[in-house]
Amino acid sequence: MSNAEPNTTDYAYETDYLSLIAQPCSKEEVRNFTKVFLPVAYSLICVVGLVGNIFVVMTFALYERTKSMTDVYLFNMAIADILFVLTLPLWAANYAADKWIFGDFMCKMSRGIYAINFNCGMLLLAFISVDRYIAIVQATKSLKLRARTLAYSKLICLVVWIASVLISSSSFLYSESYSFSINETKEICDHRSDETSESPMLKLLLLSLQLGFGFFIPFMFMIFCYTFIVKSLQQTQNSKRNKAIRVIVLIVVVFLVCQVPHNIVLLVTATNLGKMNKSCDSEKKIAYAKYTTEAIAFLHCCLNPVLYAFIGVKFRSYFVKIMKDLWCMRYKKYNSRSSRTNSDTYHSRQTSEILSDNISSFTI
Amino acid sequence: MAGFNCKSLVLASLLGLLVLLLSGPSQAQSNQDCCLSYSKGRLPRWAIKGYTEQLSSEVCDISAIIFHTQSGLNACVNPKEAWVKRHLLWLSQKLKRMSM
Repeated sequence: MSNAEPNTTDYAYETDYLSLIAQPCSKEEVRNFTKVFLPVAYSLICVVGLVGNIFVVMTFALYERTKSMTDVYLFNMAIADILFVLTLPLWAANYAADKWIFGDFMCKMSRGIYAINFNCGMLLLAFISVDRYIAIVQATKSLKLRARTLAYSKLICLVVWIASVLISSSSFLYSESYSFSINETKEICDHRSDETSESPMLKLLLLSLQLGFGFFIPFMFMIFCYTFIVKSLQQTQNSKRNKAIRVIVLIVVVFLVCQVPHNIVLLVTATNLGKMNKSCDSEKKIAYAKYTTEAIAFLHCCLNPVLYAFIGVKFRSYFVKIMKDLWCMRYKKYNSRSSRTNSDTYHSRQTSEILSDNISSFTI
Repeated sequence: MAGFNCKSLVLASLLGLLVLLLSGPSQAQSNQDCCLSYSKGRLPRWAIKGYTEQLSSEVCDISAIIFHTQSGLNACVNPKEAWVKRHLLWLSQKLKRMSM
């Protein structure tokens, strides 16, 4: 290993040469893993998320009846999810090439958009649970209150978006494409703050905000609202009761399964931040865990359309109608009769559903 | 009704401003090679070929100097230690001489 002849030195050099030298923790094997795993995972999430959420946006855009607050939130969440998954190809390329090739502006943009839409999606999840809580638990006041909030739905969504932009603004400010070198010099797109600022503190703050807005706030809202919803549903005698409870349990379980592992890893990272003498082995394990759980967390935005929109009978039947209409537009000459009968049965089904419940006009 | 609206708007913008000051979440990479600790022994000058700076404001957690040795080793050292500072000064002077 040492080809130099240390005979002119007064340092204790050769004897404990290697044991005294601390080398950088080589994450070559992690990079080999991210080089394959992340491009595949991100591409899949991007395609599935794009298709599912475009269906949601399309169905909502073509749906002409009055929409509930939850519907408006779902529409916005689908848009946030679409914007979010559109940044994933850049990250897939970043990990595949093991360097950032899109320049400084795209670095700031993709990290910023990534953060905005992740936060926006999470805030909307919280708002959806609040709207359902108002609709079901506060049912007596609900009609007035919901009509009122519906009038301001655009404003509320605007506030959610502005809040997400503000929460994420540091991603714009502190992201940079810069050259990083230990063994080889390469361009990376990552966090970079002023040297003067106390960086471990800043990083800790960023992490805790990510934990707070990305997990704890939506989680608290969901637990509070859905607990009361399930409680009040249990008191009623309704044929749809069990289905509604099942849907809610499913929503919470999927949220927890997707988000908890990633947030535990973030929490572990936060507690270890800035500490000296961490072991390279555990750093590598945390890196593996981080990338795996992050992909699971991203999967959530593919599941949102399924969980929130497609589970609703009305959404599904309307979606089927739109699909049929689109199909018929292409084959109008052949299929015009069957299309009419289909939409007729659809309309009668929908009116009967609107009469039977006003929990949510479109979903559950 | 307008009051409720105005209040919530003010509250939201205040919250947003607070968060802006504190800055928000970001996605950090964890697959880069970083120094996690400092070497306990010293390195002789003649063994050092060059150096790289690791900044805690960037992707790695701690600040460090990485000395690249003639034998191809990378040694993480504490930038605050006096001998490291002396070596860095010597290296930069050597570089200056070479470029002149």
